[in-house]
Amino acid sequence: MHIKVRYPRGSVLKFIILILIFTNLSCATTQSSLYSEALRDIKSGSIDFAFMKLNNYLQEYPNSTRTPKIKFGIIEYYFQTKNYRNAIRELTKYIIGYPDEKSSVFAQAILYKILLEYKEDSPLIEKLKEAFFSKPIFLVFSDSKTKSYKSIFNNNYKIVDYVNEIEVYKNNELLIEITP
Amino acid sequence: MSFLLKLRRKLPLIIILSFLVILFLSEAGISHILNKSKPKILNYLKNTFAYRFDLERISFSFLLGLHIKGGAIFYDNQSGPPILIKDAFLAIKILPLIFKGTIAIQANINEALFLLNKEKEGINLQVIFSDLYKKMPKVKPKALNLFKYSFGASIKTAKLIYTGNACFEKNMHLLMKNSRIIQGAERFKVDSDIELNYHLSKDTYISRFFKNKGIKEEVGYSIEGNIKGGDLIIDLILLNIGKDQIMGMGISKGFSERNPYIDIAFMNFTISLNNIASMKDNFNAKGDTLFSLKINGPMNNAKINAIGSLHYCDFRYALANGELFDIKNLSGNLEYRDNLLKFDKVNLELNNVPLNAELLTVISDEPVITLKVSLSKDYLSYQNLPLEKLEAIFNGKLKNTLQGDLQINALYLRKGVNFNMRAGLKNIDFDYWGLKEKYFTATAMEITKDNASKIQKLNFSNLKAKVYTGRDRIEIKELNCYGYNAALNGNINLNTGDKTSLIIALEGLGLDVKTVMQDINISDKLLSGAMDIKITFDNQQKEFLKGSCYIKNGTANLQLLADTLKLPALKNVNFDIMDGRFSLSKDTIRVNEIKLANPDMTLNTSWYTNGKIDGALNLKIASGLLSQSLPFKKLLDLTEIKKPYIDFDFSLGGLPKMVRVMWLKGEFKDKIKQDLSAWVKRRIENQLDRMIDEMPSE
Repeated sequence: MHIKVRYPRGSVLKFIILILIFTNLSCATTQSSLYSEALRDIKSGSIDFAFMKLNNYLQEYPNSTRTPKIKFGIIEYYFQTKNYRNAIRELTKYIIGYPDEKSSVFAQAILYKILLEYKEDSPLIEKLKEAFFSKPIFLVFSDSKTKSYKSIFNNNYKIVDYVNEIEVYKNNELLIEITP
Repeated sequence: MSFLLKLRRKLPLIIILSFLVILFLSEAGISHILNKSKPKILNYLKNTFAYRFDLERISFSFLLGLHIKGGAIFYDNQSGPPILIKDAFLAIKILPLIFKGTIAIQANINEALFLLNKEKEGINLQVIFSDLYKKMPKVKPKALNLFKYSFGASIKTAKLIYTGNACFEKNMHLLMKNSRIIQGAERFKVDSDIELNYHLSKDTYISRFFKNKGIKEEVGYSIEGNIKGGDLIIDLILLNIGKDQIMGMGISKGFSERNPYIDIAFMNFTISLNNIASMKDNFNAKGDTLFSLKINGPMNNAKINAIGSLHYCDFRYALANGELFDIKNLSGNLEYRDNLLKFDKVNLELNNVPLNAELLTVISDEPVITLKVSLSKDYLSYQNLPLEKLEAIFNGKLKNTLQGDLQINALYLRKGVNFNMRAGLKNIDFDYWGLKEKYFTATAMEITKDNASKIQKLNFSNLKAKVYTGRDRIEIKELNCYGYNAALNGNINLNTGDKTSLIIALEGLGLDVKTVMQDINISDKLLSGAMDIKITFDNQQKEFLKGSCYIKNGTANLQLLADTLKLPALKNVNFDIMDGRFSLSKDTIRVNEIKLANPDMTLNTSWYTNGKIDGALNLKIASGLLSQSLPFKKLLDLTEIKKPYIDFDFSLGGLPKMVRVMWLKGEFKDKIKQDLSAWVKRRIENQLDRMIDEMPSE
């Protein structure tokens, strides 16, 4: 005997919508918690764990809006741990991939500093220098213009444009001085 | 003493005398008969050999054989005889006949003249030889004949004159001296001295290059070969040039044909230029050369191919005016093929200046030349010339004057950027040989400078100059050319003494600013005016390029200033005078002062750049003009400054293409800062930033 079970049409739709909402919520929770865990590690000074979690985050959610910020954080990690080979690779990708990000100019500054110290003959140095001075500025009432950026590792970056030089600070310490 | 006794004693003498008288009478008789029979002999020869012969005088001697004085063979009835035997003996040797069973015919030519010419069938002398040879009794081995047969000849002097057009000159001949030719049934041998005389008349421009106005070369040669079938296998050709010996070998296929195919090769021989008299006498040549030479093809059109190299050779040639061509350590590869002479990978020192060169020449009466000469990078650096490369390429003809196109290329490296600089001169005519002064003209000259992003050029026409040369110096005076509605003139001095100095001074009056600016592509902001310009280049100075320009009655586009100050009137500013001075050193470009003045505004700026800009700009604008801008009217009202002109002082920094500007302290700025609220100042700055963001990248 063939028994036909009938579900009302409305009930099926509600069921599907509920499933989708729960799945999405659970995803959001995981994404957010992974990020929060990384931040907690940064706060507690466990930067290695934070680095691993941030990397994990990028693998899981490559298209997240947090991606540029996290990628800059990963670069900072390489820079801080003196892993310059990886730092140069990631910095180059970052500068090309996110030219309009506020942090892009600081990525250039870090790359410039690394190249100056470790690859003095790199042709990139002159190109980077030109990029720093690629826009004219007009200083009317003050003698400089300042832009700042706070990274995921809670570092405060500051770039100060003068008429004849550029100074880049990290946590109020001079990171690099660039003259045309 | 009785008569008989006396007779007996004198008998031998009498017999000898009688024999001699008989001999003389016989010789005289035979000679008489021969001379009487001359028409018959000539007729016989003509019928036998199908050539016209002539004999002036013929006599007979038992000792020397037939004595021919004045014998000729005619190629045709139209021209003179190409073979003229002035004095010769023809004999059959008795001793070889008795002891060896050989008929040895011996021809001893004291003096002969051969006129060599190319005919349709081949070389005229070879054609005659071929025809005579074929009709002569054939040389056969003894087994088939009763006697062996041999032919010998000696030539004391024979002049071989080429009557065709030799390159450059007709006046070329070879003088064969002390030649010995032996031809047996199968063997062939020649020993001779040969003297090449190539006289160049004074009217021929090429003679200018030869101190002795020609080439005179004596060479001893020896050829040995075998006759096999119709071919002459040349086992050895030995040339003795001075102390050097050159050996070769080859074949003459169908050697008795009218136009045999010859294939001769001299492989890898070394010859010292000291041993080539013409090189030594004309050019004081020294040094060694290594060559391989091949001659092959039909005799009348044999191709000469040579390949070789010169090793550290020296040449020295001085002219009456003190000009000296002192070439040292010349090394390079030389190749000659199909009238094309190629001389490449050449290194030399010309009057102590190290050069690299390449030469390609089509050898003809007016050689077509492609010559590329360049200076080494090290030398340029040593001489303080700010160039990575400097080369000159000439394409044209070498005649009484040098005629063609000349291009000078230079590579100027500044701050890692390559600038290619070129000066292209069209249709130059250079009287290189003038002893006192040499004129130089060119119909057009284009000077260009370009890098990856920009092309700058200058075009001039009707270039004229006078060139004076001497030992270690070239002076170009009265250099005139036309361009941009104006005439330019100048001088160039090149001294290649201990330290090379190059000084160029150029001056132009009234150049059209608009077209100059379009061409040199420095700025599109200067719209009109007449420019006077003075430029000097001196490689010995730290600031090697200095210049000044003075523009009268011009118009400048100050769009940026007009937008910044909200003053449309500044878009096109007419000015009475704009002048500036600039200089260039290896590291720095310095603009000492640019002044622009009109009643409403004075602009004064100076800066230097060694990759970066460091300078100042002063702007003095009439208050009346500033009041036309609403924001500035408000600012003027706010500051209550009542001066006829307002001063703006700016500091300039950044890069040449992206200038950073800072407004420096001044009365106007201080009052604005004092009177304006913070948010208004921020707003002004933001507006300027927005404007700068919207500016085109230039």
